[in-house]
Amino acid sequence: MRWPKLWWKRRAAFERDLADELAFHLEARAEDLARSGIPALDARRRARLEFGGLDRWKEACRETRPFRPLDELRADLRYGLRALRKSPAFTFVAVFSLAIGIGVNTAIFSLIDGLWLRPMAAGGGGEIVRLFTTSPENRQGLFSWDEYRQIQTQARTFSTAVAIGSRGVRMARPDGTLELTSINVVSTDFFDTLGIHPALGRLFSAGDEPALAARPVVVLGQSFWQRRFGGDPSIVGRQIRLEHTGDHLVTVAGILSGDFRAIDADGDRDLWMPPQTYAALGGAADFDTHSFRWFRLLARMRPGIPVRSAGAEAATIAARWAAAWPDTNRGRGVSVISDLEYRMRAAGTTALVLAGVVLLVAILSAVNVANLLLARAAARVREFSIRLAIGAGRARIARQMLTESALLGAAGLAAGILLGYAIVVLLPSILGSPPGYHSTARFQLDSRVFLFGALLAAATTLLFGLVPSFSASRTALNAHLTERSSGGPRARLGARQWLIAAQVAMALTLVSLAAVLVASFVRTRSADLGMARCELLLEWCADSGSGPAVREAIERLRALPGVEDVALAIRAPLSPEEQGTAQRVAFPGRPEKPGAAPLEIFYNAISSNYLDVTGIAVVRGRGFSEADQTTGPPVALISETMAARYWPGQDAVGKTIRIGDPPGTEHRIVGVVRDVPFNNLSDPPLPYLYLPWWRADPGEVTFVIHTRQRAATLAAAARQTLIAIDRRLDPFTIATEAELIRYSALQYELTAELLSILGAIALALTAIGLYGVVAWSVTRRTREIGIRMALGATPRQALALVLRQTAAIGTVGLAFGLPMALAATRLARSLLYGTVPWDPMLLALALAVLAAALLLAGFLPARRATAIDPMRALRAE
Amino acid sequence: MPPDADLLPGTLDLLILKAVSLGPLHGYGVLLRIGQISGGALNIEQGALYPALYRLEQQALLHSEWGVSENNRRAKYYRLTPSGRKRLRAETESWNRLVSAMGAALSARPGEA
Repeated sequence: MRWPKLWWKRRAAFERDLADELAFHLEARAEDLARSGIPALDARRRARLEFGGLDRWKEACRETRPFRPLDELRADLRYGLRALRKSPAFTFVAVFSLAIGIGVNTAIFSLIDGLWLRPMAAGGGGEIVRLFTTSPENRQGLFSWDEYRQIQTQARTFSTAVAIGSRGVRMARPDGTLELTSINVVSTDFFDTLGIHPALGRLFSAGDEPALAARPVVVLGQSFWQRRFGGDPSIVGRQIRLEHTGDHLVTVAGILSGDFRAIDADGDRDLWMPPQTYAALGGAADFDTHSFRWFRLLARMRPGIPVRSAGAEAATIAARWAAAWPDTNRGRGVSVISDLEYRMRAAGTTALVLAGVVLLVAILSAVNVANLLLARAAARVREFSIRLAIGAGRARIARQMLTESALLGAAGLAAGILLGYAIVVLLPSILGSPPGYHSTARFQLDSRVFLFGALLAAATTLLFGLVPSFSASRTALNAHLTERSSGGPRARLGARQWLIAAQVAMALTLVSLAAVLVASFVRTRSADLGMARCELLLEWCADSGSGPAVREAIERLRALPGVEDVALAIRAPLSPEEQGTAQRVAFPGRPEKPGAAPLEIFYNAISSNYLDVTGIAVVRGRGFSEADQTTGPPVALISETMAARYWPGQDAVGKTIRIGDPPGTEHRIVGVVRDVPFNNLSDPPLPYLYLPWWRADPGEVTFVIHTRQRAATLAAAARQTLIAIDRRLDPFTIATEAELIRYSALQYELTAELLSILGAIALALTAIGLYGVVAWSVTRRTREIGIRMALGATPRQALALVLRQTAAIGTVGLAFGLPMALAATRLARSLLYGTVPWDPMLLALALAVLAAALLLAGFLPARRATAIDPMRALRAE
Repeated sequence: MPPDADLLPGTLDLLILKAVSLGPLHGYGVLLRIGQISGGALNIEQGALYPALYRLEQQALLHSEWGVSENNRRAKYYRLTPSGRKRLRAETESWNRLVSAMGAALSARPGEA
């Protein structure tokens, strides 16, 4: 930045030389005059008079300078700053409006960007795609290791394919106790394919495979390294003891870099290891079972090959599998979509509605500022007339206005970025993380977010700056010098009224949306979930250990103070685990359709008291007895939805089903129970199956502890009890059912909160705008109202006169706003829980709130009209 | 900047170039020299001189530097650049053509048309 400094210097030298040169002229002239006999003092005066207006000629000299535009800009900026300082209230409201528009937008942009859009930290090469197995029940299924290897070796459209499987292992603490860590088992070419670099040490690659089998390695995630090892760099190269079904010393190869954003928003894992390491920890069986699908697949396309042809190739591979392994792959396809498309789909309606809403807020704030500037321009017509009269160009005045707008825009941008930053810092604590897990969502204001804010500020400045700028430059030269305070073109108020009406329409849209979303959130608090909302502590152990240990755990947990009862299950309703486990189910006497995918139904294995403890009601038949858990003929419970789907119009109790790989064991259905939400409150009810826990022996267990006091208070004590019995019973996640319900409803809570805040902001901005317009028009009509009152109008009639304007603006705004509100709530219908988008009560409420706010904003300044003293008003002119 | 009422538009520049062509001058000197060479017949508004000087310098027709005046004061002196000299010649020629054409036109009598 050399030349601006040069410009400053040159400018100062120019001013000095100009002053010196003219001073010399005046002195020399005065001397000549003195020589001709005029007294010295008079001579000086004469010299000045002959010269003419010194400042005028100086200005004319300055205009010859090549950097004139910069000089003028500087003058504009100084003048603009002074003008803004002189009206602090206007400046504050304008900057505040802008800051809200920009701040909210940058924050939401960074949220959408962070959760969904930020592409993986992937280097160059072909496009990245995601692969899924598809079945009628699940469009985004996982792959088994076997299937992954086949795709990796057979698919020609990909240059490479990588697999990621999420698991948990225990890590030994220095004191010998165990700590549960989340891991990603990734294929050895994972890091190279996605262009991921280490922050420290090295990552493993496909070339390391021979060495990896002999010497297991692990890579630490950045946040785990910070949290667990305090960011100590000497950990690289050291060994840590990890334990799964076996245990092993594992060398820390390196640390992942912090800017690596994992595969999905939830992918900030503690440890990353190659399959060889996981096998060394005793996980070899997880690779060998052909039907055990636990890997997500990503692939890089060969350059120039469209995703479509990869999809076609994947389909032929899936067909080959169906022929080779009919039991596990019949009716199962493979789909390929681009990573970007996957992210856009995941973002879905929520991102769309959020983006639309904050854009509306941005427009609202821009309109507000435009309105303020218009009012200000109208108030400054006298000033502009004077400046025009003494020779300022119209373009110059327009530019002056634009400069002031740009100053406001810059101040608004700065304040908005600060506000956005504050929101972004607070976001993670608002968003929360699944109970029992570390927070994984990360948001940051980077250059892209900043650029977005700057573009927004520039767009708003142009939008709101140009209009008043044009109208100011159109000011008639003499109109306002003669007309005085009652002057001003009528059309100006018309434009402002339309702007306010537009604000009213947008505010109604946001307030209606807020009302519907809040109602939907309230529903999540009170809706019937099919289970009791009671205090349940959930301690999930990935390894249930031995039967006697579980029995002892139940006894000891029951003995804890405040514990009512303890039940067992694989999982509790709404557990944040991605998918539950399913069982093959067949119906005796109903042959499966050839070629159709084998029927798999999600199931839970439960102890006999589970239904009582959770309050899931038995609709028909009975629950499990203690005898069912051990001896007698195999029995099962099914959900209402399963009964309705497979035995429509019949009593399912007493029917039999076959469970397990063909031919399967015959189970008799002894009861039908209420549907409960599976992963999410909003999930449609699924066919669901319950088996006795002790018989199913699932290998994992959730202790469901019903407590009298708040369940969370017992979490630590319960964990200590479990560890004391068997180290393998160290719970992987600890949560309460209330937390799970709240977390599952978090998106409703979050959108309801956000929309309430944004709706309130919109309401406030609109009220400010209306207040300004009404106050201004009361001031302008003081004389008219004075005459009316002198002619006998009562204060009430004067008030009505002014309020009529408010009513007109409000009616037009609400009339336009209603269809907008209906469209918005309809668009947001997929974000609603147990609420219809067009609820007449809620819409009426939103209308009433708007109308009340408008009447108040219009009434306060209108009251001034009633206080007008006719004599004073007339004399004032 | 309004031209002096007594001067035709554009003539001030030509007069300045002419005055400076006779030797380096400071601004006040230009004023005096024009008064002198025109026999005091041309009335120049003093202030108008400077924007014209600045403009001519900006067009590289004049060059300026600080020097010392006859009564020992710091003053800015202007002299003609080569392109200024060329411009003076061209402007003088076109002025003469204009004057003779105008003269011929204005001295025409009714019978000659």
